Amino acid sequence: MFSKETLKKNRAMEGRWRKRVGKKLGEKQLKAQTSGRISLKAVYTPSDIKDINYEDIALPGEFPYTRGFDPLRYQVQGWMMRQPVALGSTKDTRERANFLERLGWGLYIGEEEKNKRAYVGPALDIPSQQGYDPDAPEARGRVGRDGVSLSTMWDIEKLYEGRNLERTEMFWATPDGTLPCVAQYIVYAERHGVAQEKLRFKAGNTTYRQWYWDSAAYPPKEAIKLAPELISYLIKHVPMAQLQGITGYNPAEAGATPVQEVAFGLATAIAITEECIKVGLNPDDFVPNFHGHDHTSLDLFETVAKLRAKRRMWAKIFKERFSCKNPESLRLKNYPQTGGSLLRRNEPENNIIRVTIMALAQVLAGSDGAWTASYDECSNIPSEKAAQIALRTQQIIYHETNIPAVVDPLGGSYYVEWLTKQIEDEAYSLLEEIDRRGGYLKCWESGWLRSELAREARKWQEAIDKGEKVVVGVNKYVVDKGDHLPLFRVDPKVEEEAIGRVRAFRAQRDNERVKVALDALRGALIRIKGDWPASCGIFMPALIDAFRADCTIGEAQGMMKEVLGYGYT
Amino acid sequence: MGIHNKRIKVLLAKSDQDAHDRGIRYIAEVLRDAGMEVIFIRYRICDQVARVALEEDVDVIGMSFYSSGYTYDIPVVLKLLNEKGKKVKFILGGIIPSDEVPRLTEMGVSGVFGPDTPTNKVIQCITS
Repeated sequence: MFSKETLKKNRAMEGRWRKRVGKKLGEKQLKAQTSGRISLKAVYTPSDIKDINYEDIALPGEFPYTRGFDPLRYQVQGWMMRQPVALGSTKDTRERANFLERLGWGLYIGEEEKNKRAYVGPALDIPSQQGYDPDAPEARGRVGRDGVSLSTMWDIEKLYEGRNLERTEMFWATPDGTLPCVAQYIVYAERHGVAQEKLRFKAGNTTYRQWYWDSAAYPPKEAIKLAPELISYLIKHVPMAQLQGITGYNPAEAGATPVQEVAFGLATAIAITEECIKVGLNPDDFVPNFHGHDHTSLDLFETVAKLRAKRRMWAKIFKERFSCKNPESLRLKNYPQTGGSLLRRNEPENNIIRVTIMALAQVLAGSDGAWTASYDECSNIPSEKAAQIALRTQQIIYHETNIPAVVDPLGGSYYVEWLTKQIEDEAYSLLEEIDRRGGYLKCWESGWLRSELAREARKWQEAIDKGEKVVVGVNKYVVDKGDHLPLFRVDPKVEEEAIGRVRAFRAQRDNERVKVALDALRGALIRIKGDWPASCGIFMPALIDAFRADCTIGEAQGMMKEVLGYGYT
Repeated sequence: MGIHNKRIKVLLAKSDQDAHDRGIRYIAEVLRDAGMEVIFIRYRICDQVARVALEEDVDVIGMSFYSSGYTYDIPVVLKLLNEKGKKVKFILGGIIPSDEVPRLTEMGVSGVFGPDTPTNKVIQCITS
């Protein structure tokens, strides 16, 4: 990338620099490293990036998209604001969404009022995510507490009432329950005269993410089938849907280093793509609508380098490994989230600063979306005030800092380009190891992947325990041990009301029709389990029929767990 | 082996709905390294925690919550243990708001340890 002459001059300068540093440091050694333990030098120069092929960096909008896939980025369209909003009852959730929309919240930041679209991304409460209706014994004490309870068509009516569905982008924060939520939404839209072809949503379907913390409904060999099952339905019937979430966030929160996060995320995308090919799909028809969900840490430059490295690797893998021809297949759309495990309960206001730094990393990396946590999320779901500050953080970065004016402002930095390459190289080695071990699913089944994460998680916590890793106000400069967050709690009455509502719903529907529909659902699942991949494509229509018959989320997901799950009784 | 040399037996439990298990897994390793016998379970319904505690005759129960289930689960587990006259040291980890601690202590909880608590404090609480 540099002329011989420049490199020669640089070597001379480096020599002088080393001398000066030697005098300053004497015997002392520098031991800096990134959060993921990549050793760092004190300064980077052309020597560190001279062997990088300039075509690997290229310009924004050019393969391999290291600098982003849009030639102009935020000057033309702001990032997507991925704030999830959900609490207590559907009414509470609507009120919170309305409140934030008055503050300028919408799908894209900076969007003109006339073009504005809504983003509705309800975080479901834990029972709804896990497929328990509010009156299930497993749901006790948990209904509406950590998100909104979504069970029946009545709930969804209340949640979306009055929304123009064609101008709304939906997302359901539920890893195992995506298929039922999508099916329920399609039926809801149908009943309101909106054809499924006109719907926009992001289907997460991140069943695999639950393996990262032993909370999975399905073992790998069954869970993976749900991806082509949903994808093959959506590409035929809901062309504007985003098809599949690829998460790096969850591995990172479970302990993964940035290199592991990149490798495990890409290994996930590879495994899902291979499964889809097995059922006869062409990657160019579905990979363009994959969406990434990555982690952002407080190591700002490492985060930027990681997000750039992942974009580059994605482009190369889908070009070389899967021979994709569609340029959109090579472009990873990425919506990172600020790392929840990095927020602290001691002096919680400091989290506003932590989130701001992480949001800067998301924006400096040219991400397609930004997701800023509320400062009180380390203790509870966001209070109104904290949700407002989280939104304002994004708006201030967008409107007041001038950062969006220039695409990939850190591109070309000796340090950032070196670190991008370093993460890429290490992540490729790890991907090769995953391949050698038989692929992503085998690595779960053997327990190897889980133990790799556990080792890193332990190292991290030990470093905090010993004070080697400083957390301000937690293990250094500690003045106060208590957390003094004004706690935000959901009224326990929400649970009783939800139980009453689901029972009333079941009492008024045609239960004979529900039974027939659920039996058909069981039949489809048994075939998915026993006759794969030939049976692909039969489950989604049966699921949609079940919601046409007014079955609940708990009934549909319960049936999926019964047949495909870990032996639920 | 005299009673005093008996290894402390700890049951660590977490709801299978409650995802984040990084903390409790770390504690499991730390307690094991400190010489204790550790059983770690994910439960579907909290009654199972009391049942396993009785069957395994544990000295200590540690439960971890990153979601709101503790408001329901803890009183139920303590009640079931009381009914059987089972005495254990009961400790908690995860995201438990500090203003809940007095109420939990009154119920019989010996220690509440949030994220980043130095692990020696947990060991101290168990062995004291």
